[in-house]
Amino acid sequence: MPFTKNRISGFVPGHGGSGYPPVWGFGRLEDEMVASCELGRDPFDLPSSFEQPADTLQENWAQQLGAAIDQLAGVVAAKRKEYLRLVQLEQDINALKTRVSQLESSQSIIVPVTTLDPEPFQLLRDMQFVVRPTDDGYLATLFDANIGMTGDTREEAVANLKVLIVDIFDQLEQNEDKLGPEPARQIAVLRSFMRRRQ
Amino acid sequence: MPTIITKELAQKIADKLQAVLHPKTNRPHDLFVVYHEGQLITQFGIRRGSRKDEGHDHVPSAIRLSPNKARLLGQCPMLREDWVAEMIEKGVILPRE
Repeated sequence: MPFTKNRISGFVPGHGGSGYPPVWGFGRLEDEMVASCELGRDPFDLPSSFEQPADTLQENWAQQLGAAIDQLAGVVAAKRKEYLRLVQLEQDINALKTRVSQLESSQSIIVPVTTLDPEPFQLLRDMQFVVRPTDDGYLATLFDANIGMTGDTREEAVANLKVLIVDIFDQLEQNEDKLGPEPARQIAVLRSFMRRRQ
Repeated sequence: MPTIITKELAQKIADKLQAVLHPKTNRPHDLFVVYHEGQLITQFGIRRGSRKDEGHDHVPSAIRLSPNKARLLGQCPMLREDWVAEMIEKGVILPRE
C-alpha cells in the first residue's frame, strides 16, 4: 500500500512533539476501523475522528527515526559507559575496604588506658599500650616499662596487661630493697603512671 | 608473624632461669620472678590457658633477649649462666663487686 499523508500505514505513534496522537489513542481508532470494514471502506483510511494536524506528518520521518535511534544509541552508550565506570569504582572501593581491613588487623595500634579498675590503683596519667598482632593473637606492651602480655584478642591482651602491670607493681614494691637496675627503672616508670588507692 | 615462644617454651624458659612462681588467685596468668644473687632481675607472666602452643611473645623482651635467643634458652643450648653473662653485658644485672 503506497504511503500517503492521509493514511495511517507506517504511522509512527507520536511522542515528544511529533504531533501524532499517543498510542493509547488507538482504541478508538480501532473501533472506527472495524466500523469502516463493516461499511466496506478501506479501514486504513484515516477515520473522521482522527484529527491530524496539518503538515505534521513529515516526509523525512525515516531519517528522523534514524536520527532518534542514533541519539538513543548514543544515550545508551553513555549510560553504559557510566555504569561500567560505577562498577569499576565499586570494585575499587571494595578492594580498598579489604586492604584497609587487612592493614587494620595487621598493624600495631595504640590503646590509651585511662583506668585500672577494679584494681586498687588509680592512674595519674593515661598509659599507652601498643597492641600488635601475633601469629595466634595479640601482644600488648607498655614500652615505657618494658612490660608486655599476650591475649587471644586485642581486648584480652590489653586486659591481661593491665592485670600483669598491677601484679608486677605489687611485686616490685614488696622487693624494693633488692631490685636490679631494670626493675628499679620499671617501678620508677610505673610510679609516674599509677599509685595505690588510699 | 609466627609465634616463636609458646606457652610450653615460656615455661621451659622460666624453669631454665629458675624463676620463682608467685601464684595469685583470680588472675589470667602466673607471675614468674627471676632473681640472681638475691636481686630481682625481671618478671613475666605465663597465661593460664590450657593450650601449650598459646603465644607468649612477650617473654623475650621481659628477659631482654631476642626471640631466637629466648627460644634457644628454652630449648637447651643456652644456659642460665650464658643468660646471666649477657645480662651483665647489657647492664641488666650488676656484676659482683
